[in-house]
Amino acid sequence: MMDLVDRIKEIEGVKVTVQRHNRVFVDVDKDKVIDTLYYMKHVLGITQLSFMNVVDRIDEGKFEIFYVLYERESKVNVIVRIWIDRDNPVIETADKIYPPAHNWEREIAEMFGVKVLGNEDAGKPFILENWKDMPPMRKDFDSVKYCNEHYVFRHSEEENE
Amino acid sequence: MSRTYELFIGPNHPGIPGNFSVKLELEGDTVVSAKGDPGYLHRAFEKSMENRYYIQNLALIPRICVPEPDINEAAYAMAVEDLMGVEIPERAKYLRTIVLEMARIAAYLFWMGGFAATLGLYTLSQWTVGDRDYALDLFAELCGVRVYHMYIWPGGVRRDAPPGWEDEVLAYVRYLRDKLIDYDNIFFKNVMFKQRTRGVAVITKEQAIEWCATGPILKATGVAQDVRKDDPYAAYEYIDFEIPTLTDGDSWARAMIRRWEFENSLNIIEQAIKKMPKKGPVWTKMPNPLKWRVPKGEAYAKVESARGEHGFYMVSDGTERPYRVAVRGSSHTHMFTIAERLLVGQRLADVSHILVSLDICPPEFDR
Amino acid sequence: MDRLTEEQAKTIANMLRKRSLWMIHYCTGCGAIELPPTMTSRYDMSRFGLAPFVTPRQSDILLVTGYVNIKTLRRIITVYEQMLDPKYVIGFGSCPINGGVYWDSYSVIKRLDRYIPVDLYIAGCMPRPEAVITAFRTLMDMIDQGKADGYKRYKRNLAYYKENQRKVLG
Repeated sequence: MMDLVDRIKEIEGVKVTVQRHNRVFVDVDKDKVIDTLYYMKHVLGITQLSFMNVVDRIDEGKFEIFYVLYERESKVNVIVRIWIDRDNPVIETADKIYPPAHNWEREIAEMFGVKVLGNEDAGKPFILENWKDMPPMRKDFDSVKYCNEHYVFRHSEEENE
Repeated sequence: MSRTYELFIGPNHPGIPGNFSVKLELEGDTVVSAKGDPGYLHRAFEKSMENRYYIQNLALIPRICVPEPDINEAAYAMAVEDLMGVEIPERAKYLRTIVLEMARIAAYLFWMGGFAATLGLYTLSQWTVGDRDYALDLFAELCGVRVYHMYIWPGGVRRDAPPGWEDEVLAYVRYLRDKLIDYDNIFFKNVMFKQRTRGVAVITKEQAIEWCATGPILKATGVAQDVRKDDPYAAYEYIDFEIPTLTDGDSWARAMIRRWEFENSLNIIEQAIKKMPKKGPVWTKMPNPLKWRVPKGEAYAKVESARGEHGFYMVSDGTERPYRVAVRGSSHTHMFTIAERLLVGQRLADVSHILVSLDICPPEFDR
Repeated sequence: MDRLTEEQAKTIANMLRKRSLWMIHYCTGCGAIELPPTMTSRYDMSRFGLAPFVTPRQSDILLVTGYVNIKTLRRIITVYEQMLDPKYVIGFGSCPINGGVYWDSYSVIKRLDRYIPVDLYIAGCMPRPEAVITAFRTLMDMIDQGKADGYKRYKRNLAYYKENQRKVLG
C-alpha cells in the first residue's frame, strides 16, 4: 500500500492524506483533476471508479467533488477530491477515462446544478421530473419549507372531500 | 429499409425488477439502443439524512435497498464508527456477520425466484419466496420486524440474540441445504435454463474492468474481487471461505456465481455460529444517542452486498447531524453503464432476464 | 319466476365480484417486497380468489405499495384511469397515509387520498402478509355491502381530484 502512496505523491501538486482502513485521500487542484485521473488509471493502473459525488461546502462557498477509486492489487481506496467555485460550478467530464462517471455526472448535474463540460447528457432530467425549483441537494434548499408549500399534510380526522 | 420503433418497458411491467423503466429502441425484435429512466423511487434520502440526528437516520437507511436492507445499516454503522474511532465487541461482530449473511441469503432466494420467473419457470419462485419467509421469521424473532431490521447500529448491534436463536438459524441452514438440491434439480441443472442463458449477454473480463463492475458480474468474468476478503469488516477475517469465479461472463455464469455465493453464505453462517463467543457484550458503551457528536472528517465505508460493492461516503462537521451522506449503490453502475451497453443487439425476449441477471435494484440508484 | 329487481341484480353482482379480484402487478414502492410472500406458497392469496395481473384494463385492485413519488404519482393516475369500473384502491403502509418517514422529503406526496380515491388503508411499515390478506378480506366485505365506492367518488368529485393533481404535477 505504501508503494502506491509513494507513487501518488510523485504527482505534481497533490496533497495526500492516509486514513486508516486503506483509504487514501488525494486533494488536487480543479484544473488538474482530469490529468490526475488519467494518470491514476493508465500509469498507476487504478481501474475502478466506485463512486463520485458532491459535498456542498456552503460556508466556504465551494463544492467539493470526490471520486472514489479502487486499486485492486493493493486493495486501497483512493479518494480524489477537488474544490470548485459554488457560484460558477463547472467541471470537466471524466467519462472518457472512467465510463461510470458519465451517469454519476448526470446525477450531480441534476442534484447540485454542477455544469459538466463534455457530457451532453448532464443537465437533462435524470431522476427528477418537471423540477422547477433550485437543485434540491444544495444546502440552501429547504426541503421542509418546500413540502409545506407544495404538499398537504394530514393533520387530524378531517373528511377528505 | 430499416425502421426502428421505441418501446417502453416499465415501470408497470412484470419483467422489470421493480419500479423503473427502460426505453428500448428496437428493430424487429433486436435492441438497437437502451436507456434507463430512473427516479420512480426517488425519496431524497441523502437530503433527509442531513436533517436528522445520527440515531434517527437508522430508521431511514434500511429503506434504501429493499430486498437486502442490512447492508445499509452495516455500512452506515461502519462509517460512523470509523469517524468516532469506536471498536465493536467480538460477539457483535459475529452477530453482524450472521445477520448480513442471512440477508444475503434472503436476497438471493428472492433473486432466484425472480430470475426463474423471467425465464418462465414460476415453480421456483413459489418455492424460494416461500423459503425466504422463514428467514424473515428468524429476523422477526431477533429484532421484532420482518423486513426493516434496524439491528446493526453504530457501536455494535441493538440487542443480543434471544436464547436458542442460533440453533434455529442452524436448523434453517440445514433446511436450505436440502432445498438447494431441489433448486438445482428443477432449475440450475435444467436444460432450458442453460439454453436460454448460455452465451447471452457476454461481458468479457476487460469490459467488466473497464465498466467498473463489482460483485457477481465481475466474479463471473474471472476476477476474484470481494469486499469481504479485500477489506474485511464484521467477522469475515476470522472466517474461511472461497470467492467463486467463472470465466464465461454470460447470463448463465452470473446465475451460477449467485448460486455458489448462496452456498457460501450457508457455510459462513455455520462457521460464524461455531466460532462466536457464547457470551459477552454486544454493544460498546456510547453516549446518549441524541447527543452523539461525531468528530469532523470524512469516511468511506463499504460492504459487499448481494449485487456488489455498497458504499457510504460520510462527511461530518462535528455536530449532531451528518453533514453529508452519499450512498453508492452498485446497481447505478450496473444499470446505466453496463446494462445500457449490454442490451444492444439482444433480443426483446431476453431483455428482462438480462436485467435480472445483472440484479438491478432500483431503490439503490434512485435513493 | 319474475325478473330480478335492480336491487337483487346488484346484490348478486357484488357477491360474484368480490370472489374474483385481480390485482394489478405494479410495484410502486418498497411495500412490494411483502407482496411475493403474500402471493406465493406460504400465504397464498389465490385461496381467496385473488391473483396478480399485468395489465390495467383487466385488473380490479390497484395496490399502492408504499410511498408515492411525484414521478410515480403520474403513472399511478394513468394506470388508475385506464382501469375499468368497478375498481378499488388500497393504500399500503404508512407512507400513502401521511408520508411516513418521508415527511420532509421534497419528492414524496403526503396524502394519497387527495389525488385518487382510496377505499382502504393498511397501516404499518411493513404490513405483514397477514395484514394484507385481512385488508383484502375487508375489501371483499365492503364490496358485498356496497361500501367500496371509490370509483364513484372519483367521478363525482373529478374537479377536486384533477385540481389537486394539477397542483402537484404541474
